[in-house]
Amino acid sequence: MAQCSDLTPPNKTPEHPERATVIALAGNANVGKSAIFNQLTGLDQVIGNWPGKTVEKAEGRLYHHGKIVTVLDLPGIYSLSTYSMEELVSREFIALERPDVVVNVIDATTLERNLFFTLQLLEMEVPMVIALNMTDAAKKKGINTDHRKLQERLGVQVVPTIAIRGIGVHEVVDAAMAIAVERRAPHNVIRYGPEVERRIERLSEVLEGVDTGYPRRWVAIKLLERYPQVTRIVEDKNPQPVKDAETLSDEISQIHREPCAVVISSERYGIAASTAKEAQTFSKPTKTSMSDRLDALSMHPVEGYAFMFAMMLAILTFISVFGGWVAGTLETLFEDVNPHMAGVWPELAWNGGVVGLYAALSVALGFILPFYIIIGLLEDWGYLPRVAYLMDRPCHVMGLHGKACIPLLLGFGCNVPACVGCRIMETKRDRLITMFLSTMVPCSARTAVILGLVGAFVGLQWAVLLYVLDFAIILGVGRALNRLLPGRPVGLIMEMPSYRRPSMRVVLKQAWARFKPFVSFAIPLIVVGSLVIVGLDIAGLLPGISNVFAPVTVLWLGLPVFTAPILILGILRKEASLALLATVAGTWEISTVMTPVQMIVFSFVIMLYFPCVSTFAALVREAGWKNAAFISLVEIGLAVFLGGILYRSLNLLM
Amino acid sequence: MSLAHSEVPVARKLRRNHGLLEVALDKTPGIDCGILHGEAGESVHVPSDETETTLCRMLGEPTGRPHGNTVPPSESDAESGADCPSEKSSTFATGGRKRDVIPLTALAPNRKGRIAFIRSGVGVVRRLSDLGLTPGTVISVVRVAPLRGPVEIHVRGCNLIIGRGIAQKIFVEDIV
Repeated sequence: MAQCSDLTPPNKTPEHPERATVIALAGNANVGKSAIFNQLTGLDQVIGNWPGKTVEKAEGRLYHHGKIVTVLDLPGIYSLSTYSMEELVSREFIALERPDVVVNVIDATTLERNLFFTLQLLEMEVPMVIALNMTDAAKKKGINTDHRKLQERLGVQVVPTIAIRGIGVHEVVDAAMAIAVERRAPHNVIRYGPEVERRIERLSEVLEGVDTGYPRRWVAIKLLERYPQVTRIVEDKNPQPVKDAETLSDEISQIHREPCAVVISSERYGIAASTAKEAQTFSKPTKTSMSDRLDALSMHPVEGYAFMFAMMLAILTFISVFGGWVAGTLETLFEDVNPHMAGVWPELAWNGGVVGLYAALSVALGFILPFYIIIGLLEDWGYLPRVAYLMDRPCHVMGLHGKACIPLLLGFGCNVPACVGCRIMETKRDRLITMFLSTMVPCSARTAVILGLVGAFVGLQWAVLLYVLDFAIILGVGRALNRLLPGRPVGLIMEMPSYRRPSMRVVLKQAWARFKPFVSFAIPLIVVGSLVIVGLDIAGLLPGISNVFAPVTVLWLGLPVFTAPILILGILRKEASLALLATVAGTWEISTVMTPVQMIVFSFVIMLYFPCVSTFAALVREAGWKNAAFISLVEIGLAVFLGGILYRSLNLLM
Repeated sequence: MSLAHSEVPVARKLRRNHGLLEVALDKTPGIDCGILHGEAGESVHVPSDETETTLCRMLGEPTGRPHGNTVPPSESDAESGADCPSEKSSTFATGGRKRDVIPLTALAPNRKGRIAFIRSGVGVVRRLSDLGLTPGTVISVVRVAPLRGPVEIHVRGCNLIIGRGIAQKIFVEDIV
């Protein structure tokens, strides 16, 4: 489970010894909240250039003039009345748990839309400070924002920041702490059109005496917007205001010929637009931005797809060549110092321990780490949303929309964050389908097996064939799930961020955070596993255990008998299976103990047969025991059934 | 005159029928405009809900009556913006009427459109309006994906991608 350390709050059960001040970072998706959080707490919350990365609130600490301050990083949110799962976390937290102060992070490049949320916070009268972020990116786009004017207009302190470089971040905390001490709520300056305003006032009068703990005006507005949580709170105390609100909200709908919530949203956007207009001046950027020019290629109806496939192939080729080189170099290095001692114990120590260790290092440094770095680069660059755009239509075949590609792509790195990332899907149904499919995406561990085994000893084209087969199976399973699960797919609505130059520092730091559990868990596991297997082999016990599974492994799948214990250990970590094969062979040259067909079938089974334990745990947490068990059983069935068919067809071909 | 609360919608509906009938008679050639009010007044109880909707659609969702009064809006769907909803009330449309509108998907890249209304479920309409797609907002199409794929639009300073299915329900006025 350690793999997902980058997604879980670093400190899940905070003790509040002297009730630490709580600062919550809130704002639209992809505005730099996590970047500010990392700057403040020194933690490594995952950041990347796509909306919806942060799906759980993360908590960290900092010391401010000797005081302990708890900082919370909330998932991105566009409005206090939306429905998506990760947004719910933020809404509930701000509305119900009420932090001492909210730092509203806003993106200077899209000020108007960001202010829409700011206005809602103002209405709630939460003590707040605004961090005007990405001021550098805005300047490049020819947007100049006068933060003093903004401050004056909103009545809230505004601090300009460039979070990724840490500029302005500490000023934000100073300002936030000053507000938190006084718990000074801003003076709400928002006024709607007279027909709405009159009804808010009338409802506020009815609400007198109904104590909800929230500002009365805010409750009145939320009732008119038919915001379910607030409606329920009020209804429990006194049903009359809710009834009145329905009538009043209908009246507003009648006047404007639009649902009342949309009327209020429109007016709020009107205020946001005029505020942004007052504070910003525009100069035409001298040339089309790099991002726009890149998009002309990467989102082109033909070239965009070609670019995507070319990039995937290039990545696979690179990893394959690089991984093979690392494995070869390490083997030479270690074999040079091989004392070649005879006897049971030296053999166990060398074949079990040392070969296990360098096999583990080969997998880790040759395949896993570079893959994490590449995925991190794509993430930080902003490529993932482009894939969502390009693949939206193909995803419909599986009853999904393009956003599903984001968790699926993350799955190439590791299935654990992919499962958690499925929260960006709007409905339970879409979440479940995406989660199922993402556990079948060949993660870096499986890539290591496929490329390290099939790519290295059979040929890269056969490795590519395995990928193609996997995608076909994903497509087939997706189609089947789409038919089986009740409900209709929803459409795609997603923000498209501009490309930005990936920060190598951030990418490396994140790759390391994801890689750390590999060092602490997988490498010892592989070494212990190979000691056990070599030990069993020397003791002559290996055939006994393997024979139990022989009907499946040998008869049906055509694999060598020793693969059974490896497949079992592979459930813990899939990449361990490659290292363990090397241990059994006593060398990285696995082709000495397996035929090409066996290597392809073995990799195929490893690719599909079971989500590794970490992924299984993530599935249980995200979708419950029943779904996790269902997904695992289907995958075991598919791997065994299709593996046998693959073995037979390959025998005809090769 | 004061009406019991439950009678208000009925009265409003009669006034609406009255208005619609007046407009219809006014548009019929050869009918003396002097008798419009009376004749229409006699028949206010006649039109069923269906007839009312059909009449309203045929007349192009009129808002003004011949003598300068207004036709009150429809009671058929209070949360709805459409006067003569062409679909069941589970969907709803926001925004105006009476203009020449085309779905967003009919807008070519680099063209601009002003959102007239969105005809969709509550969830989608609210989500879109939270992202700044409120009626009256000017949006421009950046690009359209091939094979009935999504549309990328520029709205309020940022870019959004919207699936074809939803984009078809966003109706805009084509502006140059």
